[in-house]
Amino acid sequence: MAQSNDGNQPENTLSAGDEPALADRVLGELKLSGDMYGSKRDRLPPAWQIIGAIALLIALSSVVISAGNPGADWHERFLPGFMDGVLVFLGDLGGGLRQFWDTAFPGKGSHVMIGVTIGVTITNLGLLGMSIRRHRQRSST
Amino acid sequence: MSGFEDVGLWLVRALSFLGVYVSSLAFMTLISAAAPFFLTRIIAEARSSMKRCFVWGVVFVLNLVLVAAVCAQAGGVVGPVCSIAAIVILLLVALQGMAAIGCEIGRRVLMMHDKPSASLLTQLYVGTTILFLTAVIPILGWLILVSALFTGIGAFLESAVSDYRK
Repeated sequence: MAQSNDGNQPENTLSAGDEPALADRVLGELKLSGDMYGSKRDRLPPAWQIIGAIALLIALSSVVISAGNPGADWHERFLPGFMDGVLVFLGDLGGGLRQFWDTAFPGKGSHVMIGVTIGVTITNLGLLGMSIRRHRQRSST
Repeated sequence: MSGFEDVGLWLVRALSFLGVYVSSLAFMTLISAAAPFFLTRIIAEARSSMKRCFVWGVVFVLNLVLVAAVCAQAGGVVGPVCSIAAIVILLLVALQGMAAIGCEIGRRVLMMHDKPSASLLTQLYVGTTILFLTAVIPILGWLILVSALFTGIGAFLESAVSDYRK
């Protein structure tokens, strides 16, 4: 709030246009408290926690699907709406890709699709390796 | 199809688009509030090498989509559930990457408006709004949005690697 400097003139009076934005104020307070830069909350959680969360998601979802109404399609048992649409899309995409490779390599569509997926995964891991090497070099210099 | 049905269809599409925009913006606001410094590091990675981030983003998205498609084809329960997990991971990474790219675009736009010291949230809102409005342009629009997404995803992966290197 406004404070008087000499009793007459306000020192820190801020007009509405000069007032710092809320995000800046919050960031300023975080900086003052020393709880911002280099703190754990501004880093990704440890890898085991991320992998554990993914495994938990898969396990719980599998249990929910298995316990669902056996009369319904599996994707309708626990994911209505948008995610159900995503799953139907993924199923169609997988089927379409397999048919595409079947046309190019008759009878070997599934194998080629899996091969392409493994190839892209290796490329992805290669890029990961290059990034790790780059960061290692950066930290050593 | 009657005229009223046409109008209704377009209204539903517009509302869906608005819903995606608002929910994405809400998630990005959450990220910028939860980990502002992490977001700043993603922005720095995107600035340092946009081309490298873009290439890694393309390969990563292709990889996850292919893995999800292969898993969805597998029988039983675990395969399709793994495909869901892949898509959830992709969504999380994509939204964080897009938040960073939105901030960078917003910063540049606000600099043109003589506001170089605008807050992170203002940058985020301006940049994301511009990206979503650009996506409305037929054919070209979604290409720009997807390019920004790929770059953001690559930048996220780069900063994740730097996190685990420390």
